Amino acid sequence: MPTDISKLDLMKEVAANNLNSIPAAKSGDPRAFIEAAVNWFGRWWYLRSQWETIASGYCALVLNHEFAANGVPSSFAEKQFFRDAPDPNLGGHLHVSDFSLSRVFRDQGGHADADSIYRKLKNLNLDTAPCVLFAPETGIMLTAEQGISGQVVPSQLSSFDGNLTVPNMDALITGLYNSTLKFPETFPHIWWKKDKYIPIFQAEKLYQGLLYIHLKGNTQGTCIVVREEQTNAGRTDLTITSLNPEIAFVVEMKVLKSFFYHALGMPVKSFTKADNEAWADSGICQVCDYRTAKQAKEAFLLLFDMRKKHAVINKVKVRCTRESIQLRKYDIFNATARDIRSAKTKRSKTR
Amino acid sequence: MLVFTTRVWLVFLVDAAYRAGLNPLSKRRVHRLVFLSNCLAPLFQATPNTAQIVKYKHGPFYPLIQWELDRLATMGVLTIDNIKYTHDEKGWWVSSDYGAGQMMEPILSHCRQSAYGQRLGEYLNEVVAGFASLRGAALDEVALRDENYNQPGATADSFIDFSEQEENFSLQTARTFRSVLPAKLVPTQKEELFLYMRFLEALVARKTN
Repeated sequence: MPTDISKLDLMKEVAANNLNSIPAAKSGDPRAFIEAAVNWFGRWWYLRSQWETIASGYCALVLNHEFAANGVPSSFAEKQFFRDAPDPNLGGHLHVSDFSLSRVFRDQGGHADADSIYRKLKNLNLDTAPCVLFAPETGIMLTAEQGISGQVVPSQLSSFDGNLTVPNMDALITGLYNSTLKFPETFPHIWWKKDKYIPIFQAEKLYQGLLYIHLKGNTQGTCIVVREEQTNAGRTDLTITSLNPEIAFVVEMKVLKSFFYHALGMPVKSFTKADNEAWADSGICQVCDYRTAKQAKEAFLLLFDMRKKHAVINKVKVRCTRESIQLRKYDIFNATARDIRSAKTKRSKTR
Repeated sequence: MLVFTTRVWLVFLVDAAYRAGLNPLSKRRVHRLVFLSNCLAPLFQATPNTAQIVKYKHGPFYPLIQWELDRLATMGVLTIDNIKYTHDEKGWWVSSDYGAGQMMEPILSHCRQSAYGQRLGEYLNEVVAGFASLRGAALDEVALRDENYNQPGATADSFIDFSEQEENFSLQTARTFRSVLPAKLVPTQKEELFLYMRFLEALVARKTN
């Protein structure tokens, strides 16, 4: 047994090394598996520079704890030490795992693309099992909580160097915005009725969950990302902490919208400019309090703008400058430029 | 009532192990998991099925749990395989492996209908998930490094009683993570549990190196 001082030192070391890899969702929940898989791929991505070569092509990590119950299919074999000794040659392989990535079964590989993996999963009746697809060469990750046949959310692992700075945070968040959030092609689930500019109920929660998983995946081995951390000023949306030097950033997210969707259905209330101003302003108050409570170096207010017109709210901008808040507004479009062009062409033909 | 609680505890535990890829569970591992889950139960406001144990030469072992395990296996709720009689310097030992039986699912469904069953199931899921997240080589060793089991002065055949929270050193250490986390981060119950497991794993690694 170590002495008390070395015991505390060991505990600090254990906490610093492990806290960011613990999934926040309940362990029996498929979301815990998705988190564990994303964290594992994030860790793999962080280690990749140590390897001379890595195998190309998409790979997949799929949840099915009963996979080996009736015998392992002939094209699969158990992959020993999958979790604890990451393999550089992930590309082209399908991996089936339990919730904890303890026992992982890997197929013979050779999947040139995601389509090949999709077909194989369909053949194995695993197309509705929670799954993460990953391209080891590019860092593109596709998460499918309801399986590959359901909604798939793409994201991109970046080359975060571990320094918690404003430009690095911007790069991480902008990466997610460009790869996933901007257009409905890649992130349709945020809209209830996209043609009418009506977001889903609790859209902020969805953005929060997505950014949380994205940041966790990108910061494995470097920082600690916490969702809804309890402080004296309330619960932060996200807190990102680097350990060396010890710096914290707090993040608050608000959705600007033209309409407000009631969980019970109609009626849909319009959300006025004044409502949006007040909503964003409440975000400033919150993030200022969190910054004080956490003694954070920086405070970010992220506005996801789902309104018809993405006009700047000057009052909010001025107050953020005055309070030294890092204000970022991400315009969310309900259609791609191609959709808008084709809609215009159709209209002109009918005239 | 205690007998039923113990059986439910075991069924949830084996089910959680099945989900976490730990099946089949060796007899030794079942007893060690039961011990760890008893030590950390107050973290999740759960009541341990027993908070007392005699420090045994083969590691944590509960005669009552063994009786119930074999009974559940006979009932078809669990499976039992690889029964072996072994003898080493510590004496005779019967080893066996337990897994999920055909009757397990209906029992789990019934137990999950009560709030108590749901809470207990969630807690045991977390304990087993935390345990399963450790390196394979440490799995059978961590219970021996546990703060209650390995407390100063506890020699072979010592009676260990952690029914009072002040005497539950495992719980206290898990809660100490609240004060050692960097940047005043506050851990969740789950994080305290997982970090405590990783702390035991680190102790095992220290002893090995």
